[in-house]
Amino acid sequence: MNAGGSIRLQDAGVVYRRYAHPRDALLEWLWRRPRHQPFHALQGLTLAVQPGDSLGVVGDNGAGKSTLLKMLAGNLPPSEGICEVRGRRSALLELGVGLQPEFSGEENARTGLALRGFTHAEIERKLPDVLAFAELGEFAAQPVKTWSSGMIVRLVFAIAAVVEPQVLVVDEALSVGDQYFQKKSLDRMRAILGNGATLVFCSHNLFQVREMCRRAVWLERGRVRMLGDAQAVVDAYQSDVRGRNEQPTPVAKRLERVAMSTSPVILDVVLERDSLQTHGRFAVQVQASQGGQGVEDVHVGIVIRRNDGIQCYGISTLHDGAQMQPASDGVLAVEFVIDSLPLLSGEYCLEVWLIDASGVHVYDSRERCCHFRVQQAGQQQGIGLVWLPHRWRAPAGRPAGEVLEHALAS
Amino acid sequence: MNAANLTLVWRLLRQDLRERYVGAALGVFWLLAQPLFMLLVYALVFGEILQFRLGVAEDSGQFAVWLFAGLSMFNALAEVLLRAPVILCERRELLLNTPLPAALLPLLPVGSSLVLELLSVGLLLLWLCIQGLCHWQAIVFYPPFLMLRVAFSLAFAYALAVLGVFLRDLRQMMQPLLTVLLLASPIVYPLSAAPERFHAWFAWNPLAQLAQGYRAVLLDGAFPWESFTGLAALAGVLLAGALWLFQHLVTRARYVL
Repeated sequence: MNAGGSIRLQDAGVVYRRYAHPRDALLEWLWRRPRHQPFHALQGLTLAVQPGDSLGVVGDNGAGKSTLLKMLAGNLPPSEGICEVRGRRSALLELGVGLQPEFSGEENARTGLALRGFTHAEIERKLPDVLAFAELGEFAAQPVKTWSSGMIVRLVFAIAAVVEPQVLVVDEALSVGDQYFQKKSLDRMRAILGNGATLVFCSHNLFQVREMCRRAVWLERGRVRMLGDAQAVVDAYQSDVRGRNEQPTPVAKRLERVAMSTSPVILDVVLERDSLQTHGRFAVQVQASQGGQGVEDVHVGIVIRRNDGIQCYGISTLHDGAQMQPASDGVLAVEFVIDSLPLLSGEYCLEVWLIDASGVHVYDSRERCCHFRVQQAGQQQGIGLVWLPHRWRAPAGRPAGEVLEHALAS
Repeated sequence: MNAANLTLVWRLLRQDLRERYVGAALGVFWLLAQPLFMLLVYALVFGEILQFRLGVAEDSGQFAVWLFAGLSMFNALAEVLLRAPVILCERRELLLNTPLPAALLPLLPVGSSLVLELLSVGLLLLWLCIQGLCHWQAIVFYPPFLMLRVAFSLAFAYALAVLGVFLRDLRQMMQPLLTVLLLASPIVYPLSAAPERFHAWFAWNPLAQLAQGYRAVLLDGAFPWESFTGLAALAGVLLAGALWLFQHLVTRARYVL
């Protein structure tokens, strides 16, 4: 259909200027004397995306991801360096931008297409495709202000996708649509990619980034921290995020937290080992400060999650009718043990909650801590999440021999 | 300006006009209803009560027509002056999040002023034809003066649009400024009502010249060459200056939008 466009960044950077007051920007121009504080949103970016390739963008909030996408979409000129994008580009950045709430979906679709550089005749030709893809039915003729956010995503994505871009730039936007449309839009992105277009995709759903992109860039404070194979970059980013969560709070600070706090606080979560085998022993110890509460009013909940976010199992001392035990002065401890862990191969982590006796109030929590890996031993077969107790047998009420005889007689 | 940008401006202008009058029963005709109402007020106050007359033997109906020709021009210009300082801020989202060229936005107030002026001048010519006072030359002589007014409007639109981002007080200053402009020019009163010693001022006032020009082409079917060339030169200089200013300041404006 269409060849992909290419992207080339050479030492590209974006500097935002912060002014105390809008008029300072004018005075600065008049007197030629700086009155702003520069903010480097992006610095020294050098990367190239070949036609037909796909680039994922990962990083923390404020790392410059959106700025990069805006620059690639052509909404923001680079303040320094070169940003070269060849081919017709189409971007899906912030949701609902440019939609006029008072107007119908059709009217907004026309404006959206006009903003992407189409002429009147082209717009009329493309419009049925957009509406068909968005599947809005009778809502297409209704004012956008009556729509749900999911419907807005549908329209916005349909506009961005139907223009047959050579460079498609997609920011975190798909997460709002329903499952059906998410799948549809991911399929559409794959189809666009399959046609040789170039994709730049940014999402906090790292799984999607890994699925959609061949390569990825990890941004940190406006600079490239890592650039390479998507799998490797996503893994490195994930383990960095984990590392930050697991960083033990310095003792002094922890003591301070305990002293300051009038409610219970999680002090420590210690995994017995972080590499296990299916059916191996799993144990985790939780320590918490009592924080002036009675022993019977401090409970621990533990949730095991797989790295794609699936909750595997969760239970608490409250629901099991167990109690935390006093370990030392004002410190409670408990150990959670699974003698034969039924989880199959995968990466997992824990969520630990400190709750009160009603189970409603949360004192403290740790999310995505204690990452661990489970592997199936050589002879251990089975796929999925957990090993379920099972057996194989002949169909009920008939011994195997009888079936055989019956078959032979007829 | 390519075909795609033209489509875009057309769509934005349509939306702009519809957005302002959405849900209103009269719709876009509100654009005309307001100036018509003001015309009624001025005609009543100056024509009937204060008995302003252009010549000796004229009636209040002719004064109203005379008033309307000047006001059509002034209202169109006022539309631009009032809307231009806020246009970039109003479309901030679009400007920052889509590849919309900023230079297209100042065209919106000029576009709506064009709609307003064509509606009211059309109405005026229709009225003159019914009265049998229509000059065929008006059809030929009017467009050059319209272009002149549009050139001034473009100059103001580009300069005010970009300055309005930095100087947020500008939008508040426009309404009083317009009142001063209206009263400092012979738009609601004839030149003959002003004392002789002020006439030199009116000769140098471009707005007065433009208003007189509009009346000459629309009502008398004459073409005042002298004031046209003078005004065209002034409009050219202003437009060039405004475009230069816009170009130099628009990237800066993004930082403070």
